Amino acid sequence: MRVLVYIFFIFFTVFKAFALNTVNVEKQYEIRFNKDEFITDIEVVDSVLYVLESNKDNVLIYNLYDGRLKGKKFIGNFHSLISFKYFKSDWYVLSANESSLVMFDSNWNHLKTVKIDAKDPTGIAFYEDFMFIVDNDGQKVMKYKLKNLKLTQQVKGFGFNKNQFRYPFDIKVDEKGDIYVSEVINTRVQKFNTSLKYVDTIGEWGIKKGQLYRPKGIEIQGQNLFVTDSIMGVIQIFDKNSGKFLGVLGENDKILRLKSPYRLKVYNNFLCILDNFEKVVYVYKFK
Amino acid sequence: MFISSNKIPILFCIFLLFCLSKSYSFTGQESAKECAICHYEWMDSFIYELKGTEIVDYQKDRIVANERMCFSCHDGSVADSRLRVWANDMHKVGIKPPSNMKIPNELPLENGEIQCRTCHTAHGTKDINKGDIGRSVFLRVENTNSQLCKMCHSDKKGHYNHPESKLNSKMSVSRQLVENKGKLGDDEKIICESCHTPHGPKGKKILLGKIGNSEICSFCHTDKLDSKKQYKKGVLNHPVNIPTDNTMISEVESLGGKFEDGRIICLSCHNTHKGINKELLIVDNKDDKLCLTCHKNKVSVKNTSHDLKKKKGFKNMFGQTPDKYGTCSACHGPHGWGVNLPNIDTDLLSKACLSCHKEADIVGEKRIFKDRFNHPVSVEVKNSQDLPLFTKSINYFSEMNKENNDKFINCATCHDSHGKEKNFLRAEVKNDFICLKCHDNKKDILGSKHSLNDITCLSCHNIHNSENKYLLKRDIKDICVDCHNKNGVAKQFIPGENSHPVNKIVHDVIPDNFKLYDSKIQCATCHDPHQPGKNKKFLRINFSNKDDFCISCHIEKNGIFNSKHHDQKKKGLCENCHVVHNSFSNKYLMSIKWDYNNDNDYCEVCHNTNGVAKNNIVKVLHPFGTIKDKKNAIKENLSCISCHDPHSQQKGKNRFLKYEEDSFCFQCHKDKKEFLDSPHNSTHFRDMSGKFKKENCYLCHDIHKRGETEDAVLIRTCESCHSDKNIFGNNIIKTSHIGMKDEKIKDFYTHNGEVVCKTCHEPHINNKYLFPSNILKSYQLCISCHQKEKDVLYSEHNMSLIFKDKDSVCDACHTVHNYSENNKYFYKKDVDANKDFVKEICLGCHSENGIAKTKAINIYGHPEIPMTFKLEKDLPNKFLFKKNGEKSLTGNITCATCHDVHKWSESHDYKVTENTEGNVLNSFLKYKGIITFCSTCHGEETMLRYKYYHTDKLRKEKYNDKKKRKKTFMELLIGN
Repeated sequence: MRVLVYIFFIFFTVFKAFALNTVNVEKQYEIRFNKDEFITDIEVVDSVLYVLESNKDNVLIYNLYDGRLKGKKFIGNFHSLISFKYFKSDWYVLSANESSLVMFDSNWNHLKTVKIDAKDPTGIAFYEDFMFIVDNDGQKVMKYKLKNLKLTQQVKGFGFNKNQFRYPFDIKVDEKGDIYVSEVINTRVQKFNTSLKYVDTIGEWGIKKGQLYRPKGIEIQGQNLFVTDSIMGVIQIFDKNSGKFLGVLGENDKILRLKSPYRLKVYNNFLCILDNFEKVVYVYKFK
Repeated sequence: MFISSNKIPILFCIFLLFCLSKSYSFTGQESAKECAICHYEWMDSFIYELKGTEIVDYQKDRIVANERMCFSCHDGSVADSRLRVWANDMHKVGIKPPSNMKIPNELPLENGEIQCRTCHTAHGTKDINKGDIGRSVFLRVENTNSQLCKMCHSDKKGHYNHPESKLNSKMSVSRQLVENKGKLGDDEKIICESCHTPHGPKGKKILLGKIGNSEICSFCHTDKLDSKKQYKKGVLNHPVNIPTDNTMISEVESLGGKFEDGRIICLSCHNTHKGINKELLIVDNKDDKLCLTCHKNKVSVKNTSHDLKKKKGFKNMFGQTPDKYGTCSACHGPHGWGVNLPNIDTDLLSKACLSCHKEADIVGEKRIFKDRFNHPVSVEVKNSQDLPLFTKSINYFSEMNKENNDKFINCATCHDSHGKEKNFLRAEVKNDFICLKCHDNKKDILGSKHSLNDITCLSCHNIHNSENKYLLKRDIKDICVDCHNKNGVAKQFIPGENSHPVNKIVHDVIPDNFKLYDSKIQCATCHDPHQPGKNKKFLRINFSNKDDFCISCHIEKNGIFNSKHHDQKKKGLCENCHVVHNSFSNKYLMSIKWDYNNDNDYCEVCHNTNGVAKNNIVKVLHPFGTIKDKKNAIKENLSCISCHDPHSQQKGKNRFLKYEEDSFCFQCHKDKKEFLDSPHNSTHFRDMSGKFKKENCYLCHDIHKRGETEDAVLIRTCESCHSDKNIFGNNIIKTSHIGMKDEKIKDFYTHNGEVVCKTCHEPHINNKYLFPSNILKSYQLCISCHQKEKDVLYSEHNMSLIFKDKDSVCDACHTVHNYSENNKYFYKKDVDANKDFVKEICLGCHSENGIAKTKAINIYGHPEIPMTFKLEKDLPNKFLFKKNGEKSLTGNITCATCHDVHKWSESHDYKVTENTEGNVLNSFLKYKGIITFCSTCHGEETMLRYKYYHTDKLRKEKYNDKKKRKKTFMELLIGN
């Protein structure tokens, strides 16, 4: 009997050591889109949720708090818009197939279209006077001077090692100017400093906690680095400085499982997640 | 060495923990990753431990090639197929294939369902022959010619399917097909993917385009549909994408046809995969079932002569017989005419009709001859009322398409080729005056005399095969007379022999209201047989009076209004003199009965003693006759109308002259044109007297002279001005050469042998003295008559040498005008009537104060004694001069008795030098006759006296002695 008690103790201890931390969120609402609407990115500015409709070159504008559609803006005839970002009163939109950056003012009036040295730009981020763009097919991350849109630095290469990429997709910058780049096939997040010097690697190949199978969108909230996985269907949370797995998004202490989470956005206490396979945007609140 | 049984559980737990914590070490992570990146189910936890992990559930089933797995990379994060595959519809996945579809083993299903892997494999296409790896898009089977599609979709066999052939020459791959990722097979043949795409179709049934508006068909059938999906007209193309009525839709749908939004589309008649024949029709159209389902009103064509099933051997341009392809097929092809027509934008309908109706062996007597006149087609008309019009590019079905604002006429406007009426005329055409449906501007003919007695449009016109213009049955010059003759229907309205000319070319422009025919005037020039007009005379324009009608063309006659020829009390000014038809004269179409023989008769008819213009009769006329040109050909017959235009009073001071007065006469009298520059041009002195205003030739000439002779008028005319102090003041002519007679004047004009003004003057010429143009100097005029005095030119009496004025040869002593009435010989200076005239005029110069003072006469000549002559009766008349200067038998001997002032000597060799001292042979002496003359009185002393007086020696002695200067010759002689 003592032996059985001992075994139970050991098992309890081991499972406790492997116990999963869920960061609970509560769904506020969801926005579903039609079959012929293909959504590729979301952004929140001043409590307004912007949704980029790629195939129709529309920006759909919703009230973040209640999901009420405020308007729809046709922004021009482009091909394959894939990501956008609001920075310093201007909108920056990436057109993947055209390898171009399209700029608009805050009211979506077209300012200019700039060709960039990228095969397939898929992510964009800003820090101070610099703009960072991920080139998915080009296997690189580029740093542009925002003032003149001149390429100042880049880290490039196809491979498994650090400073190399296999299909980098999303990019975020933290408050210190560190760059985080998700890689879909290398199944990791590489961290660089503002000068694009390698700092760290977060996540690894696999399907266990802290591992990534098909990482896509990333987002930073304080020390937390959120990473979506479109096959596992979960959003994992890492410590952005140590790279340590912190937990997984949950709902009522259960893992939040989505069909194919793609990009995500944290705004104050809100978390917006785009599932572009299901063609839905979920809006949660952190508990 | 043995482990106790109670430790076994402990060891198991340790092993288990080890396995849990180090599971990856069994496999080697990276080596598995390249496969597991898609084969999710092969992840270690799933495949070895048969369980999930902390964060994912156990994945028992394969998801390697399901849609989500493919999407996880093709969402733009690795490959970008977002919009191509997932933004629209796609080939069905996640469902089981229909029971009648056999899926070959090469195309695996997933749990019996179609998945991406059914067609695709990441491991590459098997046995690629012609396609490249890029095109195969990881398909399991090469699909360059739809091989893959047909492996499943074999049920399309057994029907007539859309042909997999090359596009014909009229078709082309449109831009839309390329943009929508449509593909052609080998040799550019149509394949499944030419219309369908498994990913990102725009239309239903994974079609590249929508079936609505026939969009998908338009991608290749560019010969039938344009880029705007509008059916192309002008090729007899059945319209599509236009609304049609619900009854028609339901009937065609019952046959298998499809409609979109109530609009007819290509699939209304065709089925691309279940066609009943190779034309892919939904039903067999042998008996025109498909056509007549909608076009029920066309069934009437059956069994008519247009049902060419009756015509043996007839084939349309495709070689199809009506027997096999239906009655409609004779004219209508599947998408165009059944007859061979040019591929141009023109009236194809009429051309289609003519394609048969020009062939006698097809239509017999209904043949239309192209070289004859036929009713025009393809022309725009404003109104057809009930008759149909067509678009310029005619398509057969345009009647159904009323919104086109069709406005062109063609064969089908009058004919309904499907009708049962005679000649296939439309029902509306039964009316004899059907022409008026379009020609509504001719509708006034109804109720007119031209619509009586069964007269219809066709009484004068042939619609087809007319041999005359305007589709007339007769030439336009004859067509009216056919009725309007003494035996015709309109015999009471015949133009008569004397009528307004017709069939003559008019070179002038005539008003638009009137019409010329080949530039010729015809009856229809003035008459519009379709418009009776207010006066029922079918005159072309409505006018307030007849005069306006005439003036419309004869605008140059407009000046007659309000002239003296316009009797305002009478209506109809023109017809006072003229009548258009049945006139009394062939020339000028006079309405007044008169014996018209010459041109003046047309004036005299009024301007005669009994005529209406009896107060304005011309007694004597300007000479008539003919004006001839240089070749002596008659240029003009002079008559009243040579100068007068009875229709224009305005010119020539209301004298109906043809030209303005100032230039009128010069139209003929061109040689007098210099007059205008001459002093006689009255414009030079019009202001001098009111009577000369705007007068010129008329100042002197009166063309019609009122009965006076010409010369008398002439003299009177000069005098009338040159004696008028109001005009010339003190320069009036009081005395002149006029009236003198001389037989020697032969080459100059005289009146009854007398000198008149015109003898010396040409009044129309522009020189100082109005001398004839051949007279350059005045003396030339004088010596023209005064030949004897011509020698003065060679004497010191040629004063032009003295005064250095070549014009003063005669003028120095003479003037023909305004000499003193007492003077003789036109001597210009006044001479005291109490003195010896001849002596005075000689001593006028030959005196100490005279110009000839060097030859002053101190002792004046012969004593004044009466002479009586016995011998030569006429001689004294030459030598003796009365005191007043007249030559007279009772005259005295004076200077001119011995001297001829105009002749220095007999010889013309004399060259004048100043103060030549002469001798007896010259010195202006009348040498030959004077001796005889003197001897009559002086007898033997004649020579002595002559020498004394004419010899320097004797004379000088006496005359130089001043004391004896006053002694006469006789005293000296006696004294000697």
